[in-house]
Amino acid sequence: MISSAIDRLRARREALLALFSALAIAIHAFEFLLPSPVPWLRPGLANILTLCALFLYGGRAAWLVALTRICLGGLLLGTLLSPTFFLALSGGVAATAMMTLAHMLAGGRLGTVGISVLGAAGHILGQLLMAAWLLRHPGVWRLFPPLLMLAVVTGAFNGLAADLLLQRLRLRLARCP
Amino acid sequence: MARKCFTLWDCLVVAVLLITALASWLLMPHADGAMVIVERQGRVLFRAPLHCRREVSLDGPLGPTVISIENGWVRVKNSSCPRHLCQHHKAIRRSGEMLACLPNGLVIRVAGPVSVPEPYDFLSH
Repeated sequence: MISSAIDRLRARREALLALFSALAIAIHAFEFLLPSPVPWLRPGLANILTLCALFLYGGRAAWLVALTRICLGGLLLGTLLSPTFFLALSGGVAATAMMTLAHMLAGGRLGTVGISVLGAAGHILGQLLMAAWLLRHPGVWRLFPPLLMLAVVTGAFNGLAADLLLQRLRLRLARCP
Repeated sequence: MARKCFTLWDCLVVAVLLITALASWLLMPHADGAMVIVERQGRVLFRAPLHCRREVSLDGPLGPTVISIENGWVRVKNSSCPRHLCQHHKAIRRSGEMLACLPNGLVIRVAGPVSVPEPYDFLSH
């Protein structure tokens, strides 16, 4: 009986993480199609799914969703191994590192908004580091202040969205254990 | 289950990041410009270093516009446009700043230092 319950939980975790990854890839591709003044200025809505994975199943799950989204998203959009892909990869890795670390250190004290904003800040930091390395032009850092402002706004929005999604998911998951 | 979407810590994180953004904006050194470039419809009409004192008259559709470069500042000294908005604008010196005289079709901008030295001192078309 106990082993079957554990099996069921594990199956549910795997199904949910697969769903999160698939949704994240879809949002990633959708954002790519949105018109934007600068090609890398995006709200980062796919991070909502990484946040959900992090809050439901922990750091490893968040890494799984983030890396799957970036690699498969790159493959889907045809940007794999191009500069765009490396910008997304460095941003995603920095963001996920920041979020998992903050989640681990803060325990339950930081909610989705705080973690999301930190992730967004990590994202632009990773991207700018990669951009500075690719372009070898110090002018890249002039973008830091305005981008950080935007990151706080989009990060807070994503955090709120993730919170709503998590509330609903937790209700559902509690209803059918 | 307690709602943990926006705790005190979240406020703290958001505040710290906003302050970081503002501080880095204020503390970031604004590069002084090095070159004055005057363009009409994307075509470069005139180009000169910012540190040399110079006065130049450029002809537009309404007549001449006199631009003066002095002590690293550029300003429009005189223009034949109807409202003289460009003349009343304050002088500029920083990389990326612009003066425009739309009636006379001139855009005066300051560019940053070029990493590759140019083979000429100034260029006039």
